[in-house]
Amino acid sequence: MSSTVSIKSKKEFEAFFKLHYSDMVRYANKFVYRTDVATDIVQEAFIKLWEARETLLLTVSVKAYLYKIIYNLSLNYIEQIKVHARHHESIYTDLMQLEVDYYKDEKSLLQEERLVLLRKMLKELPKNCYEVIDLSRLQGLKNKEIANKMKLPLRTVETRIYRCISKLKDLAHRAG
Amino acid sequence: MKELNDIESIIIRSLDRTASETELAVLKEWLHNSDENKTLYFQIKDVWDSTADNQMPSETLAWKQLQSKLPSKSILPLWAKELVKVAAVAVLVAITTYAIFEMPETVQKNPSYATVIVPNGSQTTVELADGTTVRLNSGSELSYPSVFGEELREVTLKGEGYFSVKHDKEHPFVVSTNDLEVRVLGTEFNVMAYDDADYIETTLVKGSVSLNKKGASYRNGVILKPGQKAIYQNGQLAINKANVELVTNWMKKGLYFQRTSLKELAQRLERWYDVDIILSNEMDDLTFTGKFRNNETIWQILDVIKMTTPIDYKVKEDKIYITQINE
Repeated sequence: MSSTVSIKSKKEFEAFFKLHYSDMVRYANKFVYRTDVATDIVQEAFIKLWEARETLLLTVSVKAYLYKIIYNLSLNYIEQIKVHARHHESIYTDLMQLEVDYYKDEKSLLQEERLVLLRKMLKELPKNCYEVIDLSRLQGLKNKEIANKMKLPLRTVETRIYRCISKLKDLAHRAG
Repeated sequence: MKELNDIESIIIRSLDRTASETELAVLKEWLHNSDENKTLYFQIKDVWDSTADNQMPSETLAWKQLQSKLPSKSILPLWAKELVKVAAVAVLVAITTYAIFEMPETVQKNPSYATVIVPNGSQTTVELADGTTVRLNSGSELSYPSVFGEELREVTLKGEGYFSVKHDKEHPFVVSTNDLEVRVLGTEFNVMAYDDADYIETTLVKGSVSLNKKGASYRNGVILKPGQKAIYQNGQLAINKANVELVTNWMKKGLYFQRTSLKELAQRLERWYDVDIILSNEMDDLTFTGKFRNNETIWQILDVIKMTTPIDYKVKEDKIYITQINE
């Protein structure tokens, strides 16, 4: 698959970086819940990748290697904040821990080639789904803001988002 | 409390980060009920995370930032360890007695040498006999002869200075620091060699300079090109791309930090504001990024740092104590 990509020269590395950067940030953000931390982690991971590029075995997919570094750096970060977590944050750090444990064996859609397909499917969702997904995921509005905008009760919006995401999830997993 | 039973709503709220503590507790319990629940939740969250498209940082900008941090191929183990010892001896020799003045003042060390000492909290510009100007940052020291020698124009620097060297091919200009010598013809560059930092940084803005270990021949030195910086640390010299604005920002009376460790940040604030800062521990894992224009008070700066970094500060007996927040 992507195992033959070459990143030896700075030009190749730059192309690889630009192609995968935002997905890597999404992946890190999944674990750390903070874009600033996620971008720091991704930057560090790419530096490590650059340093290791000469010695990387050809059999290792560069992308897989990068995901692995990001996963490990996120894990470190979670270990760190667990120590400093204030009481009301501790439940989030519990969830974070549960999630990194889950991804020990599982892969994110981001890691698989299905994501492109998933994003395409997004546009083919029924109108009432596309509407909320667009506001929530693409424009980044909070549930409450969407409810205000669409003049719908908050709970209706929430269950609608749930159903639509769930639909996308099924589509993505079936597509694989 | 009917809403609490509605796990679909709670899931979406937790992803939106608007769930209450009680709701999160319900979610956590539900997740622990079965592996199916876990799988369902993490797959839903995965779609949520993967489709996030808002406020994604720009690749182009991120690449620019990354590029300056990619280590160049040449980490040159240039000099042998014995030379470090030679330099250490040179440091001892170089430490002579001098008075600290309130304002930058010229002291006659011997009939032909002068030393400018810039106290913490101020900066000064020195013009040398050959027309070269040196802007000196807080807490720096520059020694120079009142008349330059026959062959070389030699000065000694501790701290940080920005040199605009008058072009004179016949008489190379040499800046000596504890460990390194920077040799130039006519050029503009910044040298940072504070005693309390464990590295020496040379950034070239214009022209060309060569760097060599103190005591070694400049013929074996490393040539720096404009826009590059050399960092000398633990006996090794590494050449990297420089962010010239970042390096020379101090002259515009600004403070510019990029992933700067709290330790270095404290040292720079101490010099800039002439205050004593005490860190409660090493704070190795903390860095700060930000830019100040220098019309802020030290308190305003500390408050900004506090907002983005888990630290707190206290003032006691004229000293600022910074602690890391753990709880």
